[in-house]
Amino acid sequence: MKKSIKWLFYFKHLIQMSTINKIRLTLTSIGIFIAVFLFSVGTIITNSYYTGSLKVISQMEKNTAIITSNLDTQKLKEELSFVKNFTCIDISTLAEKKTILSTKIDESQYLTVMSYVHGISSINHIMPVLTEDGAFIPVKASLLKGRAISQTDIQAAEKVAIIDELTEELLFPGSEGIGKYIELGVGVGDITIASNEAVSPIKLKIIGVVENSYSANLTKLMLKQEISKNSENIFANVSIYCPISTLINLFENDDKSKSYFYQIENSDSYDDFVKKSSTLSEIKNKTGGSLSVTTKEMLLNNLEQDLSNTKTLINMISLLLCIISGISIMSITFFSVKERIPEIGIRKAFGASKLDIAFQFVFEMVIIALIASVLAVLFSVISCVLLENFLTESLYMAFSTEISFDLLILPLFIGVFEAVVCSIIPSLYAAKIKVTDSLRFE
Amino acid sequence: MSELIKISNLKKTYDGIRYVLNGLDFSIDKGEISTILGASGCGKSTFLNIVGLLDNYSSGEYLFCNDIIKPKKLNSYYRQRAMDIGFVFQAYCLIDSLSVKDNILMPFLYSGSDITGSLKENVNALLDNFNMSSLKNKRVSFLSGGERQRVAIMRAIIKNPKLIIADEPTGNLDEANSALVVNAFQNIAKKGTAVIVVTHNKYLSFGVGRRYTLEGGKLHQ
Repeated sequence: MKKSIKWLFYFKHLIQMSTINKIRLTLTSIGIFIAVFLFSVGTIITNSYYTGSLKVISQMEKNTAIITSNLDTQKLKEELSFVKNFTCIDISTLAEKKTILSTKIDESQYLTVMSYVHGISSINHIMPVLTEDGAFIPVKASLLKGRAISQTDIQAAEKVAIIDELTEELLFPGSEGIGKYIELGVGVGDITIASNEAVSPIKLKIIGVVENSYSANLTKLMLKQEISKNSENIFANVSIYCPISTLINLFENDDKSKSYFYQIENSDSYDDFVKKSSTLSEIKNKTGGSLSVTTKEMLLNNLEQDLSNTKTLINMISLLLCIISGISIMSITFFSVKERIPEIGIRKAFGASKLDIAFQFVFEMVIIALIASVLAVLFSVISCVLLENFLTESLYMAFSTEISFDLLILPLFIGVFEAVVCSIIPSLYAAKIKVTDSLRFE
Repeated sequence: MSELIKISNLKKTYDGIRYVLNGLDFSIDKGEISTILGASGCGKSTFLNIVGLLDNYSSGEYLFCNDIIKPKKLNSYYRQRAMDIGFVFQAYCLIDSLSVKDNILMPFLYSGSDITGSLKENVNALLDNFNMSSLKNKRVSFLSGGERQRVAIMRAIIKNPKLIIADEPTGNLDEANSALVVNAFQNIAKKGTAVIVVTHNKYLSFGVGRRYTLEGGKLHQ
């Protein structure tokens, strides 16, 4: 029989066999499926997160660094005077801002403003947002009307803001928000915004309105109904975005640890700065305070380190699952061999060599593993796409599933490789069974 | 007729003390039918396993198609089992999960020969001869004992082997089915295939060929 027909025959035998040994095949398939699925999902999510974060970090201007210190701006500038032509922006402690920006709509209801600081620019409706701990996170915020915060706004510390549609509906019911002002600290227009702490009032002009994660899936009518209910959920989901430089002015007298956003125009100066600032202990000794520097390269390194750690974790979990499913494959194949001893004898009596018998069992496992792995990869892709839809549509997080050819092939290879490795010992055991012994089982 | 098998002074022991076969001599020509009778446990199946290259022997000489069969190289004779020998077992020994047709074609999986159009015609003709055309695609686990034995015989003769070894082929069959089996063996023998039938039924007769009795580890004609 030609080799190709022989394989078809094995395949046909496997299919016919599967109608009898459903439980065995199902258990084997589930074991492989789970291992491959988790590995595949983990790899795709990690890769997608990495690619997404990379895009955001790459939007950070060249020669840019974030410095966190407990020194005041003037003192820090003096200490870092060796750096020429830089712009110093204090982004301050945003953690406090969440408390300070508790705003009162009327006597009984409080609006908690989840305020993020706009980082650099807005591309494809994804804003890189700089959080209080100095990390960049992508926030999806499609501009509905008006304009985005520009580089000029940041450099000039313009008192402008972008609010989301829900905030607009809450603050200016039935009317246009663009062109109007909101004041953080003390009253604005017909809305009273109260603060828990005494802070310098700041009046921001609304220049744009973005979609809100909470209200994105609501119709206008539903939105009004939700607002009329005064649900607390609504208040927790409104957002105000403003230039980081503007917030710096707001908190400039704060003497706690601050972050400074440095942009150094000259590349040579920047290199020099990074080189010198990397010797933090030296600077700390000089300043007598705490100081840390984060550059674009550091963010990239951190990201790569995070990626590497996550990948290691995924690989460890997958390896553990592979070992567990491998043991299950091995024991199930052994069980299968025991169950099919008469068949092995019959096949040997009609000319099957040791290699033929071993090959048949390995072939069967490889086919099962391949089918289970293909399904696992398919399900993992579907899961990631669903996750992306959920994150972007419902939670408004920026997540884009990044799938490449090698991400699909690697899990398949792992599934098949595992099947081959784990079925070899039982298959060799099957091959060694004496034909006269096996025929006695019939 | 030319000699297909020649066995001289064959001995077989499992424990080194008691000899199941003890100085056995046997020969069979092409196209000959040999019937071997014997009580249960006298070593009939052991003898067939050795002749069919399924088991090794302890000492003696075994020539198959004038080639010396070396007991220590038993695993290397799978080609001979695939091409030259067909087995019919009392317990049928079919693969239950496969269809009638696939069981019949199974020997070709290992014989190295191609499945050609003429082979498929042969299978269909054989199924017609054994009145089993309608069951061609049915799984053998659904067949009766008589039908299963017919499938086993078809599987043994489909490749036109040089030798057919039948171990109690009518042991589980009624008279009508037994007659069918006898007839099938007579027909294949006419085409030049040697047939060795082991039975404990002394009334089973093929009309031609030699009849032996296995007793005390030796064959008596």
